[in-house]
Amino acid sequence: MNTTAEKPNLHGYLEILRRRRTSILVALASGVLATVVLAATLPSRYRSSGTILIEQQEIPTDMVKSTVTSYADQRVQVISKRVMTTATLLDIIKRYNLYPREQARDTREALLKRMRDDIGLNMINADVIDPRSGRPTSATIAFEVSYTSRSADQAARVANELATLYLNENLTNRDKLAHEATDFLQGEGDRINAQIVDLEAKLAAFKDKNYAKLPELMQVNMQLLDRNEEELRTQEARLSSLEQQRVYLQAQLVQLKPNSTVFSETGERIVSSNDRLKMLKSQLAAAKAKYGPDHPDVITLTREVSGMESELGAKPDTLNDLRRELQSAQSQLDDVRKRYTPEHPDRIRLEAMVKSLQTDLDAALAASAAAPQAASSTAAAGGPFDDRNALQPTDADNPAYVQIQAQLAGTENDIKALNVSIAKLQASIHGYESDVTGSPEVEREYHDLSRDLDNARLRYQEIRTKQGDARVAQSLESDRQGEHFTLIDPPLPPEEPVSPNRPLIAIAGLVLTLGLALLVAMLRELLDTTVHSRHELLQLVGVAPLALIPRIETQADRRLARRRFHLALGSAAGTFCVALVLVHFFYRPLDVIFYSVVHRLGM
Amino acid sequence: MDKIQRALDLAALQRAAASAEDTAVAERAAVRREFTPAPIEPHRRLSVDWAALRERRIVDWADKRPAAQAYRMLRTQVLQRARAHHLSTVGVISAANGEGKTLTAINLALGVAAEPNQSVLLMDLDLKRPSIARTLGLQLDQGLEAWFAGSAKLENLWCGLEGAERLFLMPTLAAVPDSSEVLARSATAKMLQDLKERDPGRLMIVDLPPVLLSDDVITLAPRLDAVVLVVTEGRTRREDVARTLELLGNTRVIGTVLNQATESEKRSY
Repeated sequence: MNTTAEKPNLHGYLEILRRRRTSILVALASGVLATVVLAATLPSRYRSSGTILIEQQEIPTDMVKSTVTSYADQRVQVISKRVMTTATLLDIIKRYNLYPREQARDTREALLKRMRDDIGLNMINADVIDPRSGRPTSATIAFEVSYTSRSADQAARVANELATLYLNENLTNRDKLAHEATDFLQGEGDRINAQIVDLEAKLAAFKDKNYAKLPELMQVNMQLLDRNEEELRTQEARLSSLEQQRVYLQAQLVQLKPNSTVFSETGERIVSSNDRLKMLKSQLAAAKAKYGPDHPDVITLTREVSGMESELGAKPDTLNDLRRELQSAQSQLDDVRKRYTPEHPDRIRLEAMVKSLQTDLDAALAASAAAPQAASSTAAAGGPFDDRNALQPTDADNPAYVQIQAQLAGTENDIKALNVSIAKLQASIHGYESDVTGSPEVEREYHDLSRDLDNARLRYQEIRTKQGDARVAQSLESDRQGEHFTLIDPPLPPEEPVSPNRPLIAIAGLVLTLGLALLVAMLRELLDTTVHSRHELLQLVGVAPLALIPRIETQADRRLARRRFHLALGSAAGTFCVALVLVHFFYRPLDVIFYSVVHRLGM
Repeated sequence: MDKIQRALDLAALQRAAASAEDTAVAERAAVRREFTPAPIEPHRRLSVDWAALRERRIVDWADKRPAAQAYRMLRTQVLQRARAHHLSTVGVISAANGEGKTLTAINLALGVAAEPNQSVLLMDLDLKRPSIARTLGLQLDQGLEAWFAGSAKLENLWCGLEGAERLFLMPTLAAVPDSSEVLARSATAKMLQDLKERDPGRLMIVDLPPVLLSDDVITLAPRLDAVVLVVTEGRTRREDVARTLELLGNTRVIGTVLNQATESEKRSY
């Protein structure tokens, strides 16, 4: 009797339920009523949807590649954003008079949000194998555009409108994209063209400026240089042979007398002026040695010599002659000195002669030193030219001499011409050499320019090719041959509403109501701090109550309860009737509601 | 400190003397009960309509309702405890009003009166809202309020009911102003003591006001031997019960009564 379980057991829970039965019943009743009303009166919503197929390009992409390369689903999203603009949606709302009640009540944003919520876009994907990578992937092959409305017809109309918008937007979008590609390529091509023209002008100017040094001419320059050097070598060889010839001719000429040997009637050979001069000179020297200067022989000889000399135009004496004579006199003197005493007249004569010759030589040396210019120039030209003037007597009549002389002159001319041509060759070689040396520098710049030009040309070529492709693609788009949308399943007025799911709402509502009722009971139990059982009292006081007095029900109680019940019943019925009347007159006639409910419940 | 210690010692001595005296009185009473003649006749005996009273939830000796059974059980337990501990004044209290104190007091008194050889006095000391007379439908011209006002003698207020020979009533008809002060008077204590000594074997059941709504009960508690706490299921708050027990302090609580109990002691009998 007094061993009640410490913890609330099942009995305790049942006790609680029994204690709170009123609350639970009220909660259940109101919940069920609310659920039923909700399930029966929620307006039906119809969804109409159209399926738009994304058809692939019909011409193989290997042949014509579209310039619109974004993925279909991505494009659908883009189009969706374009379609869902405020202006478009407001236009549709106005045209089809959607949400008449909300139009008057809500803000435009709320209206648009409602519209967007009611519009559905559903991608239909298919598992395919990517033909390029060979990997399985998911491709968007179609999409559904739907609209949900309270009226089936309106849903279909708006869904149709939306589907049309999607189709049109896709067309304009693709056209625009194709146009954009073409225009862009056109602009790019023009730009590169201008660049090419500019580069070409620059290159031409550069070529003009550095014509000979261009790397293209390097080979030619090298060849020309080689050839010229070859030529130069040939010419120089020829020159040296000509010079040899000249030397030879000169030698020959020297051996010949300009005048032919002339014999007098007496058979005496008439010596040439030169020989005669030499003879005279040696005679003069001998006379000078033999006699004093005032000796008539000496005087005569001297006069004769000077006369001859003036006639011949030769110098009074040449160093060589003097030296030769001095040498011979010296050798004679040496010879005499060995044989004779100093007093010997020959010896004295010879000594005097040597002395005189020495004096003459000194004088001649001094004279030659005084006129160094002429002497050096003749000396530089070489020995053979020493006494050219002397060798070219104007009155030469020896045929051999004349011939040799002519040959010599020809040779001289040749040499002169050769020298000129050699000089020219050297100049040209020098020029080529400088070209070849300067070439690398020019080459760098030249290559820079020509590389730029080549690049630009390459790019231009590329762009032009692409532009051609783009034009083809554009015509593909404008002829609707590219990927396009097809409305394969136009939106129809649905016959069945999509929502609300009345049975589900009813079941959910009932479950919820049950939970709510239990919750209410629990809350009341928790909030209630009054004593509820013997057990509680035992815990509180420490001893069990002496007695548990049940409620004493009197006749009055019973009567009161009955009256209350009747009153509640009556008032409920009255309220119901009043509510029905109100609904009938102020909301909708009852028969209409009845049939619509029957219809909605699918009976 | 010393004073306090001395006071405590004195109190302990007095208490020991009192309990010794009590024991002596109780022993005498027990001996006397065996030989006491029929109870003293009340000033007058009133007739009541028991059938009508049943409609007011009054449980008489012939009642067969489940509640009657419960009240009998209460009666028996209270009597057993009273006899065991020599208790003669038992107050019926509750934490708040409207919990059925008066009804419990009346039914308990009727139950005790049904016991042979046991007389009982039902006294209405709920001076703020006296209701025994009203509940029983008694036609009286004066009650305890007159005694408190000093205009009536106690013997004249003494009444009984027809059909319940061993039940005596001392109702109050009107509220007494300054009830707490009135109860605190030594005259009241003396009156209680007189009543007790007049028939030590008689059980006095006192209807009292709610504990938490006035200090009447706290004032009177030391004069009572014990109290019965009435608790109503679904109405009395737990904290009120705790507070009540706290306020009662040393007063003996015989036990509690759970009114409007939904669980019953016996399913069927």
